[in-house]
Amino acid sequence: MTRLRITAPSLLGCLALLWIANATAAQQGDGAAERVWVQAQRLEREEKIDDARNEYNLLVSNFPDTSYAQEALLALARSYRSTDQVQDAYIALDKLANDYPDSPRAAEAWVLRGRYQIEEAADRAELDDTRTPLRRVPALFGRKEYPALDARVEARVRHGEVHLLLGEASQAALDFLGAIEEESRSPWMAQAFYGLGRSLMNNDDWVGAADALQAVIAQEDGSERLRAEARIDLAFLHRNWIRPSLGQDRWLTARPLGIAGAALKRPLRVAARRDGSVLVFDTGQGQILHVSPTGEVAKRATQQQTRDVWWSANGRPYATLNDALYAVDTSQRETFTPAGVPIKNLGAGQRGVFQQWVALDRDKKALWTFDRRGQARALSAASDDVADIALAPRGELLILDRKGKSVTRLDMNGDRVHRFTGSWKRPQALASDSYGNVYILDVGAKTVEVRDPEGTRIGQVGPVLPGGIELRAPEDVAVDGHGRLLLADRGLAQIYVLE
Amino acid sequence: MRRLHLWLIAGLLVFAPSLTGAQQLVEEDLPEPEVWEEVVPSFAEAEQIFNSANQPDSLVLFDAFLRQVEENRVLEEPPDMIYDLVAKSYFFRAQVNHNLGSTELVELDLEQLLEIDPGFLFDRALVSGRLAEQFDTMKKERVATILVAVDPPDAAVSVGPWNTDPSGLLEIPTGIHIIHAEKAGYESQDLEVEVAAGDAQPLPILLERTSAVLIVATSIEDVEIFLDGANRGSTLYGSDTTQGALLVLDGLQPGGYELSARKESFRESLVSVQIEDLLDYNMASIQLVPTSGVVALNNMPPGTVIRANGNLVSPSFSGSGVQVALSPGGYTLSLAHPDRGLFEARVDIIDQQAVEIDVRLRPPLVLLGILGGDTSTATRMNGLLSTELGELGSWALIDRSGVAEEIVAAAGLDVATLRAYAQTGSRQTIPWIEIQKEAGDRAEEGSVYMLGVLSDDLLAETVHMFLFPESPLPARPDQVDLALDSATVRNLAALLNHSVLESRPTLGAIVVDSPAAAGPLVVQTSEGGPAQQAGLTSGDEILSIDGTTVATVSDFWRELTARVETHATSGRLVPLRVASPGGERDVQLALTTSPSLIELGATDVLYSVASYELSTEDQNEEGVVPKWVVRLNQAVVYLHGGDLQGAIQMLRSIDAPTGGRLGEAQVNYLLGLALSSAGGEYASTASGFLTRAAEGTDGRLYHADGPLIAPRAKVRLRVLN
Repeated sequence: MTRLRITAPSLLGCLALLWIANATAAQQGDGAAERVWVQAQRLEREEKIDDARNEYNLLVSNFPDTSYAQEALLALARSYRSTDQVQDAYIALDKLANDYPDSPRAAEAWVLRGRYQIEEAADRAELDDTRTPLRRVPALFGRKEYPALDARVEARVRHGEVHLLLGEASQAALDFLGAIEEESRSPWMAQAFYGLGRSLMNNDDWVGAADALQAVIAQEDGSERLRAEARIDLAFLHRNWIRPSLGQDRWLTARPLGIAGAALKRPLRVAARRDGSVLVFDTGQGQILHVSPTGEVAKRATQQQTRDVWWSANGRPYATLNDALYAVDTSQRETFTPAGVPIKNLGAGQRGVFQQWVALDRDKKALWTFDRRGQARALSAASDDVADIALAPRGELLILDRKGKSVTRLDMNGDRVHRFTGSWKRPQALASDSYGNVYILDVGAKTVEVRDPEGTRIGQVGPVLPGGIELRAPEDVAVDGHGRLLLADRGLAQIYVLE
Repeated sequence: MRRLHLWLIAGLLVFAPSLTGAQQLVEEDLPEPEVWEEVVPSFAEAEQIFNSANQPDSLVLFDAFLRQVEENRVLEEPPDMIYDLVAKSYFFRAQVNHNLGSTELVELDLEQLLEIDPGFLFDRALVSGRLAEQFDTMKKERVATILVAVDPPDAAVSVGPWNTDPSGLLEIPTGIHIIHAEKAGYESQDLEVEVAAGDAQPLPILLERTSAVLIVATSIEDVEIFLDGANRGSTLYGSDTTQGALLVLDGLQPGGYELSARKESFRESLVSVQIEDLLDYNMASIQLVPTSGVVALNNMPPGTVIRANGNLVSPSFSGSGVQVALSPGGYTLSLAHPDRGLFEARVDIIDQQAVEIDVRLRPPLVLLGILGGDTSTATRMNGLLSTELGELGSWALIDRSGVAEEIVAAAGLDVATLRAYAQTGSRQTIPWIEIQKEAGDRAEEGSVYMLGVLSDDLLAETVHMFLFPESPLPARPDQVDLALDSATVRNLAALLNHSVLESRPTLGAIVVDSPAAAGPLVVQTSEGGPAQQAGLTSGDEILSIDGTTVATVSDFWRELTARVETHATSGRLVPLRVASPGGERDVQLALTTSPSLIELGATDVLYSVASYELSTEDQNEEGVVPKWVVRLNQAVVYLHGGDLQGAIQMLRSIDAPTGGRLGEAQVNYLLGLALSSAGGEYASTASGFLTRAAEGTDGRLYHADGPLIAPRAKVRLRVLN
């Protein structure tokens, strides 16, 4: 070990240097503030969160006229958000927005507040409220004074996304269009094109949507994730609009789902994620398989009590067990005790756009929703014989009633917005695609009927699949983002992919 | 040789002691040639006093003049004119002394006069009769007259400084003299004769012809003449310049000679000379032709001013184009056209050779300077800019570094404010119109100006460069942040060279990347477009172009663009392999091109540069780009700058084609967009334009395969209504 010895003269020298440094810092506030900032950043990297926050607060109180004070307020907000102290994050952001109203950092504060509010929204009204901070940015930071301001573009794009979630496609499209046509190019451009494509899709303008989605792919500075999303939607448009408009079938072939290193015995349940990832419950092996889009088994879990498999709104794999909802990727279980009584006989489950849980209590024949804080309430549209539930776009929930042979659509607040019936023999499962089309598996007829979001019948598959395969004992149906239909057939011991 | 007694000139003996001093002088101490001009006023002053009532006072002045001559003579031999003045001075002195009654001094003056000029003449009416008589008496005693009869008669005869007059008469002091007779081509003679006072004595001289004489004349003087390679001297103008400058070459014997006339900046002239007899030969004047090369200036528009090394040059117009003749040497040719810009080229001119230059007049890009305290970074950036932008294809870089400070100060700004604007985007009001005007006043040749601000006064890592066009184009600048490396400056160069008026290949179809398709998927084809004419329909999947597989839309456009030059102009068809539910088939695509618009919000465009390019193109009556395309682009530049009024006025001035993918729909949509941003009172007007834009099903926004206008117009309409 090397030991340093400070001799008297050198100590004096150090003190002199220190004095000079302090004197300089005193003369130049920025220099002192910078040191505090560096210290705060270091503490944060070392995960000494409280100490870091103290340093940030020091910057805010002692160096309010430096740019570090504004940076510190943003850092504080992010720090509080990371520990779920969202109210404290709001306080930091509001202080930044109010104390430095002309600073571009204030625009960022408004945007960040909107983002946090979106993440925290528990219902439609709260989602609606998120537009207030987002709207402020273009109102307070006009293009004349701030010709190129990324925060303004982000605000417009996020504002559009809120519109889209709320089902206001035209207003959403205008926000995205504004970001595209009235702003300088920014990293948000690809996101804006993507939003425009989705908005036009919701407005049934599929040519315009295809045009905008292709623009996402063409954006040189767009992310690969967004390009992949755009390709998925283009495949969906191809299958659901272009082919039908030319008199072609949506699905031209059927093939068994290829799973590397695994053979299915009695597949009972299937669920598909937007990107083509598949969850399968094989009752023959008592196993849940998480299959990647390329056919590899990403996760295998043995759960004999599995009733259903599904993907949450944010794309995580779940299984409904008899008495719990089970996270396939982390093996965590979530049990529910509405009114203090645990649900023992779960029939289905979902996790929605507000991260709320939805659980079907088969004993009580009730459908419950639990918000992220565990608050439970019964959903009004629950029927006596719920066969299946599924998430639909914009946070909607679809409920298939076996007895009533109907599908009920609830909005993100759990209020019924639509219901349609069918002349199905034995409806057992349902799925929804990204547009809102509904796929109802009738195990009696061995068919899948396709309805548009309004309930109009737009197609049917089965009992003979393209290529001549005849369904034997279909058990479940799923649709991925590409519009590919997946059918679990216990009798054929296979999952068939129609594409 | 006959011997004559030499009579020494007393006056010259007076000067003798000073000669020793003259020998000690080094060359740089010698007087300037005007030394003799400076003494003339002394004589004039003395003469003036002589003719006044104070005549006696002139004696001192004449003495002073004669002393001056004496002193200067040590340094430089006086010209004949000074000898004349000296002679007159002695004569004036003699008159003054005569009037004063100083007889001895009169005699001394006249004696000195006759020693210098034995043939001195004066107006007897102005001189006292007694003095004239005394002069005549002394002359008779001291001056001899010789009548020289020389053969040939035009030979030159002289005795010391005295020459014969045209009749052969020669007056010289009595005594022994050497008489010298000479003429080119003859052997010269020196005769020693002793002459005495009295009547004229005849003296015959016969010169013997010994060689031929060649009188060379050149059209200009100071031409070196070489005979058989030996330098024989240079030609000089004589009293009769009509004959040209002459050089007499003697000592020539009959035979053949090669004569060469040489002068710098003129071509060497070679003449063969044949001497037959010992005669005088007069050559015809040699016309020397200046050396010069020719610079052919291709594609130079009329009205261009040409300068070579800063001097105006007049071009000549031949059948093959414009050319200028220049003497051999290195030149910087600078061409300037009031509308088309500048062009500069270095040329080395070699005599009788032609150099061809393709004139590419380029608008001037003026660097006004880089502001901030870190001068070393500013200097380095200046160097980078000059290296990377100096050879720009589209612009002529002109460095006016130094005026930036004046401009900013005149606009009431300081560096800190400009830096804050550049760095934080914070709310600042920068008077760009004022800055633009100041730039025009102080560096008026600019088309586009660059003004930089260092990111820091102590240690700058970035130069925030603002670019703005000349007034009255939109003043709002582009900001380009340049790091201190060549790459970022090269990126700026690429942006500067980018033309917004480029055309692009036209397909007439929307193609997308669908993972459900085997290749780019045709979503929709335009009525009458190349795709539809080739037989492509919605749902077709493009597999390959000309045998090259295209997996994505990006691949497809790249391959198509690569064939624009080879196929679009020649009409060659591009073979495509496509798949459809009915199977695979080949189609032949007739590739065309169409103009394009600057995309709204585009950041790969320098709007300042685009603005200048568009404005120039708009005024160019011979421009190939349709005016409506130019003006649509100008409207987009106005929209970018937030100038709604400018954009709307420009759009309303456009007479765009109707019915196609490009033209009217674009104008209507952009008008709708601009008006809907202009405030609520324009909503219904905006709605009208957007309705028209939405009605056209195939209108495209930026180019013939650009985004569909109708969906966008409908979106705006839905919200507007």
